[in-house]
Amino acid sequence: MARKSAVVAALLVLLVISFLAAIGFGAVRIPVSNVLSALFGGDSATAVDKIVLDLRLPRAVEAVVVGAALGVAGALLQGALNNQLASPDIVGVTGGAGFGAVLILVLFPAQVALLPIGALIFGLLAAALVFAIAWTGTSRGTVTKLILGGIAIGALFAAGTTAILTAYPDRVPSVLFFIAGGLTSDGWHDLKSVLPYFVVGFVAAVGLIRPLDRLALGDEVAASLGSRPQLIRLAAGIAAALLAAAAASLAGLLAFLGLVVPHLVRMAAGTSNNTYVIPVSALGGATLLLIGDTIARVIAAPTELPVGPFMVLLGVPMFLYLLRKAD
Amino acid sequence: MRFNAKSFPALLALLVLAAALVAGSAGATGSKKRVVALTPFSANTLAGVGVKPVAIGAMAIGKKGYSPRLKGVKQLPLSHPNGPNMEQIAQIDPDTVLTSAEWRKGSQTMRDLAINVREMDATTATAVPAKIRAIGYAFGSKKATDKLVAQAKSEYAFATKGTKKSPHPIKQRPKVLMVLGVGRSPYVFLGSSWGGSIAKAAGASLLGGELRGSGGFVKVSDEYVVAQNPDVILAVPHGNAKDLAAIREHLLTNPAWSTTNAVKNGKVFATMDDALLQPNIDVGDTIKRVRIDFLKNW
Repeated sequence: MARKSAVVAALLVLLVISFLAAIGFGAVRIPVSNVLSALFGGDSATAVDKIVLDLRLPRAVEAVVVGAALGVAGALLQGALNNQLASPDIVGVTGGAGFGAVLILVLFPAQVALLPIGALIFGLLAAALVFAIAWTGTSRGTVTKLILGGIAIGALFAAGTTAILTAYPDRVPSVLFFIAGGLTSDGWHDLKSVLPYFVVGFVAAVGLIRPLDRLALGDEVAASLGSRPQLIRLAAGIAAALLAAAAASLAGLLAFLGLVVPHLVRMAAGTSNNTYVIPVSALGGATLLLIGDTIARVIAAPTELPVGPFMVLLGVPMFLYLLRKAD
Repeated sequence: MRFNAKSFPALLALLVLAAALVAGSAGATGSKKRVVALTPFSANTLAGVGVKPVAIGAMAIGKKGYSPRLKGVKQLPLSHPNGPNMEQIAQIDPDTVLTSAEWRKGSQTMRDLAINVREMDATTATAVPAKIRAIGYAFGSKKATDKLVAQAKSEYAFATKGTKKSPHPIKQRPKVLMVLGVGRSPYVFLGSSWGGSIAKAAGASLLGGELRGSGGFVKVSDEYVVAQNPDVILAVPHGNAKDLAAIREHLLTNPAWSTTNAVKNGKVFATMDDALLQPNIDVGDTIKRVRIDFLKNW
């Protein structure tokens, strides 16, 4: 109990510190007093107010929401499929979102404002196709069928993405940032446009916590307790797809976070209980992405680097350390 | 010099006049638009019409493509996907940012910061005068703009025809294959691209002109290259200038292209010149250099 509480407390402290760092540091040096006056008395009138309130604050909030969404999506899928390798890739979301983003960036560059919606729609479309494959025909609703369907649909959309990039080589640089995974300073409008999907995904995740704990006992035991395993899996898959697609629409392809964060939480706290793992994965994902994004924003300022590689650099050592210590 | 009571009113009037002039000048300065030009085309046009932007985009080519009049102007590093760093833009607080389609992702954020964002670059050689006029009339004086437009037209005419005293009409129109990058399968410049339009204006019969591709480039097969048999192959790679010789060697020894006239006659060139990728206002000079250096039809 003490270990679990310590993990939560440590993550909360880290989240607060990293949030303050995200607001305090950037390409333009702003004294702390000015940052505070912008936060608590600003009306977006001065350049400092604009930088703090219209650029840094929404980006930090975006990092928190996206990180939390990916952490929860990974935890939901790993819990629902009882598969430690499950991540948003498995339900095809990453491949679909990547295709949707590339479609907008390459074929309709004038409509770049539609990028989040394009990524979201195709991410959800890919997931819908995977679920349709997994829940029709023989052996419907089995984990194997879902995973194989996800791999096939993911490959299909990845091929589409490659085909578009091959046809328009001069536009490839504009796509690389999205593929590498990175947040951009877009103000509030992108977050607002996909916020409903995050809300629905998070609410569904909260509702799925107890059913997933029952599912962890095995399909037969869960069924004997009155649960419907296939329905729980489908609902968890849809919630994870919503969260992962919305996250990809804002921050590109960061599926690694969804794979690693739930493992980090389980190994650090020593429990696989979904009541603990799902909400704490939200906390862990938010903290990790916020730290990574601040580093990516500041390390080569004013040039901003994609956060994806930093997530790997931050996440892999932690992951390997805990993996060595795990039973 | 002595002052007395009689000269006092005159002195007072002089002071009032001076104060009015200073106030007027300050007012004029205050009303000037603060413009950031992210592209060489827009930055050099502004410089040409006497407007000094508050910042310009730092291109990979460094200061090479910029007018000397822009010396000392703050340079903003550009990177994908937004182009400039939005915090730096907010700090500069410009009225207008002149950008290009490449940095369109950042345009919405700049608009959210109450900045006017416009794309005004020419995308083909023939569009240069009209785009100079549009930028000049919007931000500079009409007189300076008209002069710059006339200069661009005159240089274009000279580069494509020469003058009466020193005529250089285009008599040879070699078949030219313009290749973007270096790879096993070439992407060729279409006439709708900036570099393609320069080559066409220089007299090139551009291979791939009949092909379609909205991005200005299209991938073709080696069979197409062999069948079209270009007289000149011009590679415009992204990369390091030190690699030019190796790139040329690679193209010359590409076995698939060994039967083309370009390879047989040694007319394979590699240029790191950004002038064929990045629109700029010295279009006449660029066309002339292409004719002299590559097409050999000056």
